[in-house]
Amino acid sequence: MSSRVGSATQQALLLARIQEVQARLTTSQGQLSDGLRTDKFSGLGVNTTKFLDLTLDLEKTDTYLDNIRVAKDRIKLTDQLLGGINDVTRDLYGVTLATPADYAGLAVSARGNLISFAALANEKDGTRSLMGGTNVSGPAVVIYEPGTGPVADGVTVFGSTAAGATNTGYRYQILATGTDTDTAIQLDESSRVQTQVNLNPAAPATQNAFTMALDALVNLADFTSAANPNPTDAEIVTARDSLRVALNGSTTITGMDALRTQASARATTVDAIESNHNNFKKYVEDSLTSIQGIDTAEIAAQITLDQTRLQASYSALARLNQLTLLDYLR
Amino acid sequence: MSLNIGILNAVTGLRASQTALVTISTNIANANTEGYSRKTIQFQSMELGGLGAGVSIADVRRESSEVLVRDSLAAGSGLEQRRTMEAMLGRIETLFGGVNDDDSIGATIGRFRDAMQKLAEQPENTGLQMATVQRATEVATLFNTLARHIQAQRLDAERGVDAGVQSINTEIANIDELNRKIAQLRAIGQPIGDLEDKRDLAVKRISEEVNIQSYTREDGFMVIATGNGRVLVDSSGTYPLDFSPASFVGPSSPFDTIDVGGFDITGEIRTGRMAAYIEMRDTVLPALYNELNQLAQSLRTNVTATGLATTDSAVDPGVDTNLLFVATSATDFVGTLQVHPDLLADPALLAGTPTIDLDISRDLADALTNTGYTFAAVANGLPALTKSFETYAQSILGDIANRRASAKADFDYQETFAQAINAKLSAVAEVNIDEELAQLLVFQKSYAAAGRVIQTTNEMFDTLLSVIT
Repeated sequence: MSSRVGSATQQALLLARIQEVQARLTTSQGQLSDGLRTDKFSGLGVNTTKFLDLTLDLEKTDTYLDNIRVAKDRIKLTDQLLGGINDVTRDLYGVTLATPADYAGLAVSARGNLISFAALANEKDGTRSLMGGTNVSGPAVVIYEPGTGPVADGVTVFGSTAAGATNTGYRYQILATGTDTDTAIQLDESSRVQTQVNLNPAAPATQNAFTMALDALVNLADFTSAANPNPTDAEIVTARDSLRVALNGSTTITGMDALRTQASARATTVDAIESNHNNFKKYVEDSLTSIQGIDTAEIAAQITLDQTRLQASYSALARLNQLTLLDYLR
Repeated sequence: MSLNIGILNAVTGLRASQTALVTISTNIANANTEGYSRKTIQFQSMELGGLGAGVSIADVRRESSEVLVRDSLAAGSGLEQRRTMEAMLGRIETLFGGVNDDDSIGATIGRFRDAMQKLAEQPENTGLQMATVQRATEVATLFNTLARHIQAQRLDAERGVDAGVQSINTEIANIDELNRKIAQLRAIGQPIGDLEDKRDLAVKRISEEVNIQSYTREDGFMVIATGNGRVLVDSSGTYPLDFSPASFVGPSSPFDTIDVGGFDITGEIRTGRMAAYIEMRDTVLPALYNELNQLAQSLRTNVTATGLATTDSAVDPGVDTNLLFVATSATDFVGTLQVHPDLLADPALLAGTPTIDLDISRDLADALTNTGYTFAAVANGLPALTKSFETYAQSILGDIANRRASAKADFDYQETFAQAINAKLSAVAEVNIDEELAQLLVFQKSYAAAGRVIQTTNEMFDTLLSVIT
């Protein structure tokens, strides 16, 4: 059989090969421009399942990192809040240590501290009450001025008043519910980290520091109310001493310190978890790149090779079309 | 030996050369005609009373190889099956989303899970409440869309089967007509090569649709039968395929069988485009649908929270209190999944209303991250798996990708195989212009030589006449 260079099939085969090389060249150029091996899962071959698993890991890690940002904000704000309350209580404690020159002024100071304390305890991160526990958006504590009320029946009111009666002195009501753990944030598959402090005395015992301070502040502030128009110095001193004991002799100030220490420890824990997530994210992203990304040098070399092949194929095809006996017979 | 006999011999040579030139010119003219086989002239010497009487045309032979033709048909049938399969799976893969698409099923469920996990930590955030309902709606919408597309693909496959049946019926009628013409011409000794080429082309078109067997009888009739031997064409006539396509395809739509002479041959179709369409319609796409339906059913059943406080909606046939998703069908979950109407009306229900209940969004987030859901084995699909919603969705994506990659590899292999066989066949049957031109020179010289014989004989006659006169 003579050479079949003139065969239509042979030319068609050569054309098919040229098209294959052209397609490969187009793919390689696309890969080089966007840095990705393929945009189809099927193009990942045996790495498809691994790629999908890693993608899922990356998405989950991003979710946890978002939660960590929320947790850090809450811990930071809670720490600032505790710092503010601590300043109030320490300031008041300092006052109780001195022999008062103005007993009535001490009561007024206690009232001011009571209001400041409540304002701090009701601080929010957006709409989230930082000390309200599962009373997510409501206030952690409500202060009732003398003459207000009545407080609704069945509501436990600290500072004791008869249900349905108008309050004669200062009263406060804890609206915080649940425990610290109720407001913990999920930061990875298995751990939740507490980010807030709950004013509810039913929460961990350290929170009793708040109610002790509130009890003492209410008692002292009551001397500014119409119910106690002319307190004796001795009555005020007794209340002051009670406040002093509540603030320092009890666990109030140490409790505050412990809560701040806890907040710092939680911040450290969150930082550690964030670092772990960032490291894992880096690993996942590297793995994804190794599966999906291209080796630029390899692709560039492949393009050069394919361009050479394409040129050679074009040349061969052109010569095939010329190589017929017609050329020799003319 | 008389001079007359010499002239007569030369004349037969001239005629034979002319016929050969006509054949060569026909070959060259059809060099690029699909299905045309090269024709060659078979000469035979003539004798009269023991003396040579010139040359005659014994046959105009059609160059082909029955074995290679059969192999080429089988390879072409397999190639069309894989090409169709690969194309349809490619469309399915595109529908389900690519590596960088945000709207893949895995990414969409992931975004919903992400929103719910964020909401669990900030349920009081109204923006997150709305975003979470929006993400849930995207999940339901995607499921509905995929369910529609799957049925649309099945309808496309059904139309492909119908087109295949129509094409086969047209071609078997064509072959029957060609059979009769070939038998007639053969009986009177006329060339039949061109008609055989046309018949082979018709057979090739049938084999691209479905696997067939064929053989040619002594009388020139070609018998065509399905892969399992159901006759489509023989000397007694044609046996067309009987099929009524469905105009609508739903999850449980029945399909008509493909019958030949009352026999159902649907299950006997192994290769060709129709095999791919039937496999997609009856096996691959239903498996995919069932996998999605399981996932949708599990989402509807398990994404719940006590206190979600949704009422028993009228749309879901079951009790849907505390369900985030409802479905209007008790069987077609994927096609009818939707977010509970109460939540669409009031996204704050995700957080509890009027008092925020942290447990609601946490229970929902836990449901979405739970890795312990059991998904039953799907016929022709995924095996039984215990996974989270998201990872099961990823498994579906992986399954599609694997099917596509496998189909692509099959197609590439079959294409190379078919090209190799066709190249061999072309070496035998196809027109090579170079060879034809070389043959042209040979017969040109033969013609000239015969003419020279006549001229020489004529000169001899002249010499003889001059001697006599």
